[in-house]
Amino acid sequence: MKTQDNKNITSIPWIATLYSLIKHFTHRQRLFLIPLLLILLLSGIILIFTSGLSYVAPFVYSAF
Amino acid sequence: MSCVLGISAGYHDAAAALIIDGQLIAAMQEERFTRIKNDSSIPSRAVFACLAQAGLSAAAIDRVVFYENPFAKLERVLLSLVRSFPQSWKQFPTAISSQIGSKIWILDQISSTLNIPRNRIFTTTHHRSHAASTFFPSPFDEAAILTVDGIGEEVSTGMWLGKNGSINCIKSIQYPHSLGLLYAALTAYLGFEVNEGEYKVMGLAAYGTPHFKEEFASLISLSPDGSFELSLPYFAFHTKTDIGFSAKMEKLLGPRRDPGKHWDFENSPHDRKYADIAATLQWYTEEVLLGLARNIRQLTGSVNLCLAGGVALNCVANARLLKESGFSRIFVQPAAGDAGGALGAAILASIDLDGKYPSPLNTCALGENISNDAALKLVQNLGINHTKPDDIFSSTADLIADNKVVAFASGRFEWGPRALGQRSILAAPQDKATRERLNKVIKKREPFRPFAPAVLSHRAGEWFEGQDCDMSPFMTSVANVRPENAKDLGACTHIDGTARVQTVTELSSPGLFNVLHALDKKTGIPMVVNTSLNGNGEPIVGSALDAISFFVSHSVDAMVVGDILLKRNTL
Amino acid sequence: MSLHTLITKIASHFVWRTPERSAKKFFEFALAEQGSMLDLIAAARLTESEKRRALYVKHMLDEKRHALMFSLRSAELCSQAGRKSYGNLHADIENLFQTLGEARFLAFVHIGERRACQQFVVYRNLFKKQGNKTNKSLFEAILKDEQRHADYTWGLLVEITGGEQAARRELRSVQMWEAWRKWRRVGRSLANKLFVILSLFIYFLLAPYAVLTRLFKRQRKGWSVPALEQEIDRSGSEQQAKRVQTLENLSNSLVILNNS
Repeated sequence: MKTQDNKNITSIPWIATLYSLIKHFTHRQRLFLIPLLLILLLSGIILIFTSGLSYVAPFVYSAF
Repeated sequence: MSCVLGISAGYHDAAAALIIDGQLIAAMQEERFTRIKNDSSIPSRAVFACLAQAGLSAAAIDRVVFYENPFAKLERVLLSLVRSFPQSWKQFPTAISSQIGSKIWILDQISSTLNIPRNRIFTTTHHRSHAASTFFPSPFDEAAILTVDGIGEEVSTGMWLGKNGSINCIKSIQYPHSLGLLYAALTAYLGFEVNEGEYKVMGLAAYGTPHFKEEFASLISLSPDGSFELSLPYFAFHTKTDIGFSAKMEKLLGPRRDPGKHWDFENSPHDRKYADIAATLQWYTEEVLLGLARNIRQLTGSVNLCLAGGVALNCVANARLLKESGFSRIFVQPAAGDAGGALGAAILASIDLDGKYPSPLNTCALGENISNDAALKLVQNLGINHTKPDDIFSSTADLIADNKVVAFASGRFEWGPRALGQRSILAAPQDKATRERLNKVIKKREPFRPFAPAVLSHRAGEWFEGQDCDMSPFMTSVANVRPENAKDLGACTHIDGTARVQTVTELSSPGLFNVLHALDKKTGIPMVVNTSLNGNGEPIVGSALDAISFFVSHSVDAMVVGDILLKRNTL
Repeated sequence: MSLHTLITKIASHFVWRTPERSAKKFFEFALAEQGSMLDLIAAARLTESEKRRALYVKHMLDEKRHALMFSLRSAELCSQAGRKSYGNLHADIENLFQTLGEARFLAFVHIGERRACQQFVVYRNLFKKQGNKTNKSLFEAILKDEQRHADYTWGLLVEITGGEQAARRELRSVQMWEAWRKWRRVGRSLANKLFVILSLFIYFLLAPYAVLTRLFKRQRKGWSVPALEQEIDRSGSEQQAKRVQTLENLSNSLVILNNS
């Protein structure tokens, strides 16, 4: 197949991504990255919830 | 009915392409809607516009394919940061927070933004998307395929064979050895913005001579098997992602050029030196591409070559490839950069789903149409004087023949970075002063930027040599201007005697075809300067609203928007 | 005097102290103007009223002009201060029209423009006092436009909501929403800083990884075939073979049918 088929057991979005992430990194040559990846994912949780805002807001001229 | 959508997003040039039952229905870049140049956000507006073109909703989509694998990309980013640690310590938090905070969740974001079930969203690989985007819409049944860009997941250069309705990877070169990244680093060195300034460097190169070959030999080494290797101490891809070059490069070539500084070749020896560096970069780019092309020709035996990836937008190099690589025919899909990945992904999905292939590309008019009604209401509400001529194309030709600069927005907007007569600024090609006016007053660009001619296809040979190829309808190559007729092309002959000519047929661009036809009747020269309809730093206009806003804020003499004519002096 | 005006007055003595700081501030203002422009383009595209569309286009063109004026002034001051300019403007769009709906969008814009008026009056007066004619003229020119923007957005808001009382309700609602957004911005800033600190701890883990990676996952030079592409090509060939087999089976069945 030319497109990689995500025939995984769930269609719940965030779970599907985690599943694909684990599937990708549980390959023999990538296993050693898993501990680092887990730590980064855990520490990155705070980033996921705070994305989506521009850094300079429109119609706002900061005084400082 | 099968309905598939290809999407590119996340880094630059977000785009969407819609294929129904194997037919390419629409392909659009998000920047045309948001008005953010190289917008990388999920192209929701482009997606819904594509669906509107087909009269469908998102529920009708059978499959969405994202143009690259975000997990493979994370792996490469992680490995390259770790490998270069501790030098990458500063870059590490930004790079990882971008990946973990946003990029690896892109498939979920697509699902929620477009309200499409997550299990209908798939991925392919970056260079495969590029390869598919150029081979399947090409006129060839069989071809060698070269994909050359900055970086995909881990590949920077790919060699493929397209045959029997499929594409297969022959071999590739991996990050950090990347022609695209070399070009990007030098673009930043020359004071231009990366992902925006590369074509400016190409224009600048014609003003210089490649005197820096010895220095460049320290930056990149070429192998007889067509591969190449960057000398990494001169580059800083993982530590200074906005400029990509290290202090060692500045020691080698001299201090970088300050961004935004005015160019003056006559009085500034430094600017002449920078032009020479640009010329050397161009020379090396051509040599690398030639080496790759000759190698793949040897491996595949094919007489046809398809090109994609951002480096394929280097039309000067493409012309040289056609002359010297041994290939008889070359095709470059006009949206050769990352936007084209959306098209490639959609094609792969279509083939995968029901074995259907798109027809060869004969027009780039794949965007949204101009709404005559919306245009009329807006000009009325803005109080702009307007007329509705019986023959708008003839009226346009009259204005151009009268040496007026006309902004032209007609039909569906183009797919890709070039204006091909759907959203163009048109002017008479003879007078050099026209180029000065366009560069300085209207588009406010650097003085060395050339302008391209558009000419009726069956007459192009009168003014150009080497224009008769698969690339000229899409302006992806250059041709030599015939010296005996160069006087007709004062505004669009570049300093090196070439022009990036667009050959126009009724199929490729009906509106422009009619204008050229009318101009031919009037003046005997069916040719115009064709530059993109946009202000400095802005995306090319899309809708009637964008076009009319351009007219109000830029000093063109007239504008055609749909079937309405606006003239400056009657305001 | 409002709290905002008071804060502006106090801050302005520090913010405009040197050419470098002034250049940075002008660049930020240019970004804000460009962001406004982008949101107004979206509003012009999405509104259902032709009259409002034209008004948003006019407003958008003013913001575009202001962005250029501020960014040119920033570049001038950078040059005076002997530093490189801040480069091209790259504002983000916040999809305000889609998020808030037209009435609340108008309320948001009206509050923004009204606040800008108050702020720019302070700056104009400051530069008048300092004898800085360039900056004074710049703010004076832009102030005229901001006043017009504040007026027309109020007029439209009253029209859409059906009266001044309803319009004021929308203003209050938007002020609450903006307060929540400011809180999120603070949260994001803190989260980014926290992540940087966490990264410093992660660096201890990275050192052995760096060694391992350099030893066992060297960067490849020259030609190779990525495993990902090999997998896809392999499964592509299998699928192609299946398709060919299916077609052959179909063709054989047809032959049998014909014969019988």
